[in-house]
Amino acid sequence: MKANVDRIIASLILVTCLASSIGVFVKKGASEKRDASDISFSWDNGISSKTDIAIIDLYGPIMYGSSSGFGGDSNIDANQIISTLEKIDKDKVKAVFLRLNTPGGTASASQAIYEKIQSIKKKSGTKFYSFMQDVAASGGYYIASACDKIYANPSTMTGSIGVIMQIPNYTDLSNKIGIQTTTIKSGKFKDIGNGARKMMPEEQELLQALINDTYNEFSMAVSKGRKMPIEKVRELGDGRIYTGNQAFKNGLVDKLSQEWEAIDDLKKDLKITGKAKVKNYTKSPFEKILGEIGAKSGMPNIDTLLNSTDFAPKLQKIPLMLYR
Amino acid sequence: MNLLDNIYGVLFKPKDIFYNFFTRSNFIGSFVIITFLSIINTFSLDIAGFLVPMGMSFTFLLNLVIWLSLSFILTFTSDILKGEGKISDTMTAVAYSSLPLIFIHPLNALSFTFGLEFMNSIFTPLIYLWSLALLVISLKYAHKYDLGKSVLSILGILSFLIFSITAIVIFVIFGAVLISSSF
Repeated sequence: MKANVDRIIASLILVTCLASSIGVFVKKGASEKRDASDISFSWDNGISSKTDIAIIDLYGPIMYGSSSGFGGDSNIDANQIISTLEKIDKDKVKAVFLRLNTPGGTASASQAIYEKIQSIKKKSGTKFYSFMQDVAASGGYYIASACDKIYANPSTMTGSIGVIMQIPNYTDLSNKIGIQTTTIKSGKFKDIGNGARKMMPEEQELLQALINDTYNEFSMAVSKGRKMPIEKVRELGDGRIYTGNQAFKNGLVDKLSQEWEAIDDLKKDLKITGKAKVKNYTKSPFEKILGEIGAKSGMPNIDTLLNSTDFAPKLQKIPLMLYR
Repeated sequence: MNLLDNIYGVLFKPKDIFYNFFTRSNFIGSFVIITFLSIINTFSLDIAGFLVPMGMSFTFLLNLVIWLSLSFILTFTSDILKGEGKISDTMTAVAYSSLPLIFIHPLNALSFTFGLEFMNSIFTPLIYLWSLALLVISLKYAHKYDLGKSVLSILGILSFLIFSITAIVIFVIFGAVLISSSF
């Protein structure tokens, strides 16, 4: 008799636990269904059909390669963004929504991402919208200008259209502490930017020409992306920064709004009446680290070496041109 | 002995039940327990649109892997402590000790229905402690050693976990250093 009571209690416990588990599952499902009518998009869980909108987060300085350590700050690796864009193109995603929060970066990395966006737009007709968060200056704006629409907060910091190269000179300090550098070089410009001696006027001219050329590329890109006369881009692009408000008044931004409004606009642009399927294609820091460990098993290529700001201080002979 | 008797005994009379508990039929019963746990865990999966059969096989596999690895490590630590039990005994002990975890679900139901979230935060740790206590007792009988050694073998798992996490962290840091030094 006692054994029977024990069995009944055990069965009741099992049934109650199973029933409560199923009950919560059903109830949660019902409330999610109810909530779903209030939102205009759903996150793609990877099982369902094609993604409508791909999100890419561009957070940190833009460069080739990654400077991130475990738990450290990360940057935007142009190689990774380009491969992500290629994947999005392969997945036949209708639109890409870039979330920018970057002070800028190296000229070539920003340009590479810009060019990739342009080529996908041309090839597949994919729509590109960008939303500037806290900062999207210089190289960040370069990338944004490739998009069909640029959205920003009124207080976003943007602009800073220009190119900068800074070369420290420590001649006086070296003289004071008695350090002399002997340079043996194959050509007269091989040690251009050598901080141990004063810069020659012709070296300055040469570097200025580089800066001008890169600035020209930048302003042309903005002019093409924004469909704005080059003269106006040059007038606005004197290196100054703008708030989102000022940028909007000057035509550097299409609309002042919040992120969800921008996604709603993109949805309307895509003529999606129901819920849009949204998927974030940004790699997690862990994926980035794993990807890099695999990628770095071979030798890095020379472009990666020359364009990494991390590498620049170690190679003082190569001044970097930065969009920042 | 009936499975239901075992369940009742493990939950409410653990000190009496685990003596002479580690038999072949109870080892088979432990598979039933793990399957049952997998089924009810599937419904608590908080993934919108996740298909139930798919989720069930996923949680079953996950539970199986956790169960096997935990049992393997516990047998290993018990062997070091001169325990006499086999891996099947440890598996039985681990499976039956997880039984209190089923109470998390009615608790979830209560907190979800009546908004009593504080109940979760109070009772869930207690349920885990209950399960841990059962594991200590069951291992004692499974490996025929004293309670101190049983606690030590569980602490062995903790040190194994700390060792594994440290190894992963070192691996990642080493990888990151390797990357930055390759420039």
